[in-house]
Amino acid sequence: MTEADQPLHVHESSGLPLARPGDQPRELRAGLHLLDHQILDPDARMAGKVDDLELEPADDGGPPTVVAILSGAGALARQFQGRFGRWLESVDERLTHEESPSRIPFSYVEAIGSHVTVTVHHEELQTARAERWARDTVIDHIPGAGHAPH
Amino acid sequence: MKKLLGVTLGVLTAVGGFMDIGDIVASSAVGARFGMSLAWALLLGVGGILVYAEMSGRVAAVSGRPTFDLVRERLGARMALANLGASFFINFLTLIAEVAGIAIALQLVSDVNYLLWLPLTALLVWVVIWRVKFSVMENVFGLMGLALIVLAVAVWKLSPDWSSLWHGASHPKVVSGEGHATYFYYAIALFGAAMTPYEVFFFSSGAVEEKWTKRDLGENKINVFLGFPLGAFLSLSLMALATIVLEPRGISVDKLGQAALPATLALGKVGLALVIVGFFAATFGAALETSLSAGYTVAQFFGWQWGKLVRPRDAARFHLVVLAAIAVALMIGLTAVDPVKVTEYSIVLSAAALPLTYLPILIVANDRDYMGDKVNRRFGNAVASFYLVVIFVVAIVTIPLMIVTKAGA
Amino acid sequence: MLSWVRENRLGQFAVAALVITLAACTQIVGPARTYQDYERKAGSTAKSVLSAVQTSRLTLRLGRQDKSFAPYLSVMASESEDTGAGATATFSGIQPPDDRAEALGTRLEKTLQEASSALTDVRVRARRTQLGTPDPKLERRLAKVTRQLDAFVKEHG
Repeated sequence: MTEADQPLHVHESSGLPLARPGDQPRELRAGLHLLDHQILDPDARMAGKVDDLELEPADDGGPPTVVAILSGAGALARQFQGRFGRWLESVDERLTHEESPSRIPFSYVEAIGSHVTVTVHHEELQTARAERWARDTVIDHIPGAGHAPH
Repeated sequence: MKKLLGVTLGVLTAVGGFMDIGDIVASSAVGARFGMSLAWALLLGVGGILVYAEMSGRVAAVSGRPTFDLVRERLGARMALANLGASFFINFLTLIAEVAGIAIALQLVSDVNYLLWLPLTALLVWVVIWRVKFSVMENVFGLMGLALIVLAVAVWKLSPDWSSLWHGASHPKVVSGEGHATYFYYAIALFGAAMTPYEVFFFSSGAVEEKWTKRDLGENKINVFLGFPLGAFLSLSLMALATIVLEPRGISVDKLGQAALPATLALGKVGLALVIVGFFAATFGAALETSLSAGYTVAQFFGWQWGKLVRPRDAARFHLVVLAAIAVALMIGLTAVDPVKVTEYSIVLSAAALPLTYLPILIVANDRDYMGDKVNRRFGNAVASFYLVVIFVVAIVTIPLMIVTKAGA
Repeated sequence: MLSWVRENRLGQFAVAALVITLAACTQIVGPARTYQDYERKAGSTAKSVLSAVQTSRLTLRLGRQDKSFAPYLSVMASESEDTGAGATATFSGIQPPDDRAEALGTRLEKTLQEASSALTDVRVRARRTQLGTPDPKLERRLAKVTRQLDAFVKEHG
């Protein structure tokens, strides 16, 4: 879990190209610049939200470093306490048959701007399972599913 | 010429977005019951949607982010989920009402009960979303919606006592036989109908779908500042018609067809035909917008791929939500629940849920990280802040007023 | 889906919200406990029926002046009939709390009955697309009912 607005030394640890040139290195705040943002894959396809972050505490007691982005209902569930969180987590486990959400190591993060762009294709992410399920069980059976509207 | 076309199409987009069954019912019902004395509430609401739709369009153009994306990011997952629940529910009620509205428009020309039309209209709405391109969809229904200009012509044709209409609008007072609570309840209904959140969900998502950039900010402004006032002008015309024809006779509007009576009286068959075409277009356009908004809000909350630019199979969960929303709306519509009542509830309830949607827009529109030099100007912020206060007050008093007035009975 | 609704408070809340809203869309009228209460209900019934009768008269006029299409006239006429019948039926179901209320109720019921039969006649003529030919007798009946209802609303509304 991350505290909102906790300062993070993301930039130094990853050599991350920032969205705004001429402004680096800048301090990113987990709550503001990462958490709850849209993830885009290399084809600019939407690939989930930054639902949680995996942090590594710094040795010198300074701000922690982001190690990975976590995405998917399982990760989101941790933002909720109580019944709803537990329910979401159990549904996620049942659907994905796994306990872990999509974990994107921070070295795969390409840019942080309006969106968080990653170098992993969305089909390779754990979260693609639910999308595939919707596609295979319903959408692909409807004529015209393979054509963009015109 | 191309630019002019862009502008015209933009106007159509906004007209189609503003006028829907909520505005039709609220404007006519209020005119028939309170005359022009609540025109201020409609104008207040239009000012609000103007300011916030412009902002949401600007944020979408500059940062590529639609409104519910902002909601999730700025309010955090928990508050955003609360907003999702409320917005989705209200949007869903609106969808039921709009689909029924289309069916009623068809009933008015065929004399076949609208319940029999419902399955066909729901199917049509879904097919258009599934197969028709965004811009085509908007332009066709926007253009048809322009038929509603006949409402203004009808007002003029009835040659009313303009000074008394103006006096009624400029000297608002509670008409005799009505309580203050009921008066303000209907003021909220008009305000809610003007500011229904699906308008910004749809408008901002549409801007992202049409790949707006900073260069389209001019078009955004024209869309908003011509389109919404035009919609308001048509709503005012409807209110005036009800004031002139229905109020003196003691007719209260509890069926959609009654809203077409004054224009028919003024202009005969041509007037009736144009009004029904306009009603059809407005409700169909709004049915598209609300069913898409069902998908937009959920997909943008969870970060799923959404939109009509990609193949449906590449936005499978988005299309599944849209399909499910339409299907369930159809089933509830088929229980013969009164569409006009559903409309009234949806616009009043949406007034109660407005702050959760409009606050994040205002915050992000002021964030230089995303907006650069396109952040709000001081004047814009002053107006937007004023509206935020209004929205909060409205949200707080809505539910108590609803209970006290027994929903305006 | 069903198990989710059963187990989850949020699901229960969502279903409850939907049910309450939809239930609210079908009007339910409670019993009258005092004369004032009964009078208020009588007044609002008269108002609804007056609205239906006036809509019907406007429909008749549009037909006579050939200003409208047959399907629209037919829909307007039958909706007015339904509105009038619905309000009348609801009112009949309310028990008058005392003799004075009963007298008031009897007086209104008589007018409501005349209104209902006139509304039905308009609907029948509209269905047969006969609204093009004027029917002065029917129009006089509607005008009379309008006057009575209007007076009732002014007195008790």
